[in-house]
Amino acid sequence: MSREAFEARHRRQWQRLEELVAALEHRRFHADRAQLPELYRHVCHHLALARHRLYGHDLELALNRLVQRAHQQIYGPLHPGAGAIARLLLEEFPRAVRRRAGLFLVSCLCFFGPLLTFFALATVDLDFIAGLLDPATVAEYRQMYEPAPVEERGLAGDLTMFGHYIHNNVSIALRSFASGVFAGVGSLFVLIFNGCVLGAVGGFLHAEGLGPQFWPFVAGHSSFELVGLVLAGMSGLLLGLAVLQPGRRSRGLALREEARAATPIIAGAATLVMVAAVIEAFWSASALPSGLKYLAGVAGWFALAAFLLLGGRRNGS
Amino acid sequence: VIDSIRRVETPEGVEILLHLAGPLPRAAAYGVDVVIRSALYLAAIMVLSAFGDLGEGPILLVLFVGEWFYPVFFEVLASGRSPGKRLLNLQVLHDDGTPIGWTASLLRNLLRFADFFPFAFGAGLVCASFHRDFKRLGDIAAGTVVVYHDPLPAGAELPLVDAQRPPWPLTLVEERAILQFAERQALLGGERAAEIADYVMPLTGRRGSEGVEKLLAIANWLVGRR
Repeated sequence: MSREAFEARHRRQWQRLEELVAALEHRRFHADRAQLPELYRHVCHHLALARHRLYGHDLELALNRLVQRAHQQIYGPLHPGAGAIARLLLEEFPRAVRRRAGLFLVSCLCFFGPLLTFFALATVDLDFIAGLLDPATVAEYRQMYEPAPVEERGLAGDLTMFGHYIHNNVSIALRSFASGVFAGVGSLFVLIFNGCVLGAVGGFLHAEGLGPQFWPFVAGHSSFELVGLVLAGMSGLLLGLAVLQPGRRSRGLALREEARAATPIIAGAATLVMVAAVIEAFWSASALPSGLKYLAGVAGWFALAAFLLLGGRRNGS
Repeated sequence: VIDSIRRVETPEGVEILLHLAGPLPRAAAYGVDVVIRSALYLAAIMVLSAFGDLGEGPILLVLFVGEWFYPVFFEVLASGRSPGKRLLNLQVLHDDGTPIGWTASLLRNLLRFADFFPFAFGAGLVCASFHRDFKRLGDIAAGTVVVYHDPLPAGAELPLVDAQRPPWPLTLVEERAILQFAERQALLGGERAAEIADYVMPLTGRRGSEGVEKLLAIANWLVGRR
């Protein structure tokens, strides 16, 4: 069959598919939509024929384009409903963490190790820590936690701090994940560096005798924020391990698979840091009694531990 | 063969050809997106600052969402195309040619931070320059490719001359090569076309522009103009 005859015979079908796909692309109704798979398969066949019979590059390109557009309509993305997102965060997230429990412990060590070390250093040698911190920062912290009656800062202040915490802390978590692709170095740096800073600041304030103001403030959100940061670092380390230790896969494939496996963890970690931001902005600075704040803090740690240990378990798993 | 085409087989058993886009058009698309995003930030700041202190927090939230998720919304909800990509005729797809979904889009855009490292997409550029499919780190991790939405226009049409049967039966690859030559010879310029045609002198039996004429005639025969 000559190209002209081939075109004459099938042009009608190509036009129908073209119209149908154009309608679907613009999310318009089209009466023939149920015929999409059938038309698509026919045109796939025509493309294969056109290639085999060498009907010309231009016809191949046109049919290739048409097939590709129809392919996109048929194999479109599934938009997850609220149920799928809840399943990701409430079931897949804790499961994914437990599956790599060893790596989680390593990440904890990289973060809480420096944190406790610097905290201990501050209680032993306060001047050493004060020398490490920027003097302006020291003055700021002193003023922030000086013993004065707590003033409520109002909704606007709370909201500003909320935006600030999200913008800063969640970004740190996401950056810590992304920079893990460099053999894990970025994530390790974020974990260790933040551990050192938080330990130094906490130790400094405690040793200065500002604990009674500092501890009630951080108690409420401490669990979610610290564990969120650790988990973000852990998800980054997964990327790093894929590059360092791909096993019997190519590095590209290993990275792709481990990135998929790390997705629930970084999603969960970012969510934890967001939860921490809500608590820190609207609860931690309130004038509630310290006892209540300590209680909420302890409850947070227990709830989070129970969630990570038990969340998403099915019978027998 | 080195070319910028990725072949994907569909479940229907036919191959789709994806025309991959290199770093330059992608950088241009990113530039356009930066301008548009900045305009959106400015608009949000103007509106929200009308609320005084109450607007400060929401402004920071807008910046956060824009910084990390601006491309995600467009990639998933506007068929793989942020405004910049739309303007430059680009599109993000899964490796297998299907439209990009939430997970892949999130991964490739979170890893944009690593690609940007140490500045101005240094890591991403190095990675894309060495990768067969021009993938930056985010594309490798997410399993995505950036392709031309409408492939570049084909060369000139096959010129109509009297068809001639080739002197002996040709293989499919040979036929394809002759056909592509015939479609593109107008773009090549006379001397270059003649130079290429000289390589198949055993087939045409002629040199120079006469060889080109002969190949055009064979190409016409191949497409069925007999």
